[in-house]
Amino acid sequence: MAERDALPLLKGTLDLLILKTLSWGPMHGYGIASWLEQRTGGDLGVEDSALYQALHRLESRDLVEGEWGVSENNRRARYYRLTTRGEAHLAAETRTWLRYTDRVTAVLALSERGG
Amino acid sequence: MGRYRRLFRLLPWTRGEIGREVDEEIRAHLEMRAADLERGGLSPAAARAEAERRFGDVAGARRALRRWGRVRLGRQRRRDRLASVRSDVILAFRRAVAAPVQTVTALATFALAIGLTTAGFTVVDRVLVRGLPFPESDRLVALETRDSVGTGIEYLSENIWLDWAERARSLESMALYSHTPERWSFAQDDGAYNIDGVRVTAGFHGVLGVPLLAGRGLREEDAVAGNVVVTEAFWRGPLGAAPLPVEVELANRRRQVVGVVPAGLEYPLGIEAFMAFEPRRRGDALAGEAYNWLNYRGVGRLAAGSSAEAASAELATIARGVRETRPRAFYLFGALTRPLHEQVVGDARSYLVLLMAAVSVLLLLACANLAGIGVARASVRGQELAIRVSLGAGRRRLVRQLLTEHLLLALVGGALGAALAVVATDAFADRLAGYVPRAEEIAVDTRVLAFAAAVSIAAGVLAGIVPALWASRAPLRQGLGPGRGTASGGRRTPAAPLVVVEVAMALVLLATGGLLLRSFATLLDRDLGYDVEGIVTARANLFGRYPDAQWPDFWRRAGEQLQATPGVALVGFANAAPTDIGGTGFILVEGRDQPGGAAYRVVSDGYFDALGIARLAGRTFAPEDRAGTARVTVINRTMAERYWPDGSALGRRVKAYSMEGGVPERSEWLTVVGIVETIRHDGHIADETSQMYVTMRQVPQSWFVGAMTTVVRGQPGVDAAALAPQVRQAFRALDPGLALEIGTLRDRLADLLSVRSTLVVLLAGFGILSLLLAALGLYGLLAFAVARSMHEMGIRAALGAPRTGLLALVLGRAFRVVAVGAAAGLLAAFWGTRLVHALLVDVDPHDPATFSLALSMLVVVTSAAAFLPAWRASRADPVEALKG
Repeated sequence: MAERDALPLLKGTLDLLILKTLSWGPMHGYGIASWLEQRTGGDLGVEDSALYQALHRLESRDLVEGEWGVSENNRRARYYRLTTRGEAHLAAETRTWLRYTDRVTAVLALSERGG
Repeated sequence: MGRYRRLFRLLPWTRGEIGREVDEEIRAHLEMRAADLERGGLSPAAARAEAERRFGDVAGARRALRRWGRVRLGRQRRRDRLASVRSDVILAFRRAVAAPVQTVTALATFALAIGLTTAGFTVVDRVLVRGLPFPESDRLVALETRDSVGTGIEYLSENIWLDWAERARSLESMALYSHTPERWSFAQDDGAYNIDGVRVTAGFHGVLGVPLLAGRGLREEDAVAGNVVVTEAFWRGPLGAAPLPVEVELANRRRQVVGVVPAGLEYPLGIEAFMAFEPRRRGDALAGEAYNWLNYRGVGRLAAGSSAEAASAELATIARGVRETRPRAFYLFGALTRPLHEQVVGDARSYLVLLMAAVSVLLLLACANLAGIGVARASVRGQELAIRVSLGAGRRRLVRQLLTEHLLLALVGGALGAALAVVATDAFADRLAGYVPRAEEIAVDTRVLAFAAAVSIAAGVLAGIVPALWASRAPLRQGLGPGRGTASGGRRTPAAPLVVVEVAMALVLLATGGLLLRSFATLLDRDLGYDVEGIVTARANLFGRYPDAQWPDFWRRAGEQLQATPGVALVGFANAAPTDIGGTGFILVEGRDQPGGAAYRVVSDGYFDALGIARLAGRTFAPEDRAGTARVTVINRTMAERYWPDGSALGRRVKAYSMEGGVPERSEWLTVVGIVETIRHDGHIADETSQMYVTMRQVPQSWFVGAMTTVVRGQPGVDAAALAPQVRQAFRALDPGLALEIGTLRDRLADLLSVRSTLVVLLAGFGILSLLLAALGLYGLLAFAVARSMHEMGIRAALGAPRTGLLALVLGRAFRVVAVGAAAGLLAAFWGTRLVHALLVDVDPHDPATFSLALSMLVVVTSAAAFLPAWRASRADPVEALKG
């Protein structure tokens, strides 16, 4: 698959994306990576190594919890799930993000100054 | 994705394990992506390469992930540790509550031992460790000289001090002060009373570095008027904190109080007023004799950059230089500077060190006792401990948990002990006041509390380490094997060696206490040379109150007044009666060229009879010995034996030259007319020394009879304490405003012994306490062993063993323990008591009588302790045992 020019991620966004991805249930690292690639159409340049580092960082902050498991096709992988703290953090950060983008979009979408 | 089966895995615990997990996670990711890419059409090799490329910096990721892993690991470990400590504490608490009797015993033991140790430390810390309360007190030195044999002499003459003050560079400042307190009458509207004072040179408080509370320090011009600086207590009390300078009548003269010393900074101890005086060079024409008039002490502050050694050397050089031109200066063979603190603490040091040592031994004993109890408790927990081990508790964990139980008890006990220490310290401080510097300041503070906490922890560890290590060693075998959960089938515990240690230490304390007790008894038993009972002493100072010509008459009238008082049998006068500060001087014995020394006493005719001093030969003073007639002296037995060992003292001649004229050429020959029994002047502790007496009527200078002690002996059956007010009345009839110090001789002697008696009581108490603890330990050991082996005892009884045999079995065990302990204790005591040699009077540190007594007490008490368990063993019921 050829790579298009990926959009650089703003700081902290990756954490938010990961938390959101896990909000529907536990996943292993590769699962998170491919799901994000699907949903963003590959537009966001998320390098796997960056993803794993973000995952482990989140784990050290007790926002996610990781444990080893065996998948349905007998593959061993480390699964991550959202903790209660992580849920709360996700909710708060999402609200902030949405408000932020909303305001920015409102200004950028103006066609004229007086608007 | 989403559904998975949990894989049971222990959390990674080492860096290696973390690394492996990280590698596995990354590998899994790469495999999964490669698998997807293969499904998409790539070849396995290409898929693999693409997966790796898409990953990014694999090595960097690995490093980062490992780092996060280590962070998580650290946090996990900390959490675990905290949780385990918490559970240890909770468990310890529950166990303590579940066995209330044992817990209370342990708490009481800890509290007592730690409390005593803390109290001892409080005193020792204040007195020995912290030093004097002056700024940079390590730069303060006492100035001393040496005599011909190198002995350090603490007292100085004015002359040498002046020489040093002129020439010494290694001291930035120096001061001179009278070496014994003087009693000065302080006149108030309602009468006069005496206070203790010293004469000091200008700048005395400056040398010490005392910041004055009010007013100023003494200056040279104050010496003319004899102005004073007083202590805060005196200023706030009788002077009512009046603004300075305030005029007072002190020592029969009006002077000004120009400064106030803050509380806690009085030096020397117990002094209330410091009077300025100007030191003068004395008797230069006396070939150096004046250098032997040691009436003062000197103190100095080391100059910056100078050391005590350098100062000593410089002072010594000056002193020796002086001696070269003045051959009769006997105390200028050398000089030294000593930290002032050392000179002040003096004797108290050895007492305090002994006290601390005894208290520490008691603490060790208490810990051994508690360790024994801990072992007993641990040995019945075999099953519980075995289960813990099988659930994964490592040995260290077990040890920690067992230790926690003891630590908890120790800390709580320690807190109680600290409270006990506060009370005990107050009692100590009261007893020690006046003998030990800063006694009023001895109190529990944060430093002491920190010490108490440290001792509690140490005690808890000491008490807990033996049971913890022992119980954690092989609980599995014991706990899950046959006889599990019961107290039988036990293995050998270290309880017996613990009791051996306890017995040994108890013997050491008993022996030490016994020695001190014996020494004290010997001291009390000493013949003082006079009759103590029924004597009242009254000291008065006529200086400045009457012209000296009237002094002899005053004493005569006082004598008559007293003789007429009901209840009074005999009256005598002396310039220094027993327990007073008395002067000693050089004497010249006819026929010998080396000078000797003797105490010099000026007495009335009736003095010897009043005190009950036996006359051994010749006569005592009579009315024909008066001014103008041949000068006579009465000497004591010690002096007669020392200077005329052939017994020919009567009729010989001596000169008391340093007291009577300064040099032999200026003093008269005195003829010995009588020999009296030697008295111990300074109470029981004093040695027998040479004393010579002269009559009041023949003193060469009037000032000898200016201040005298009146000795009043009551009629037989009259109590001295009841007589005292009569004596006061008699003096009041003569001179209502005269300041008097009245007391019974018995009280004054007791005062001199008070520190010693306190120590003896304490140490004897420790001895008894330690014996009880050791007995308790032995009882515990035997009771536990018997309880464990009741089954066995029953079998023995069933097999025909007589009751006495069972009794003997247990007693035999007790005997073995006590025997080994006593042997160890004897060795330790033999070695240890040598250290208290200095405090013992007339008692050999290895005194067999004391040791035998201590040993017998030990045997008796331990036998009693062993008897109950032995008796119980002998009542073992064979039927019970056979029932299984």
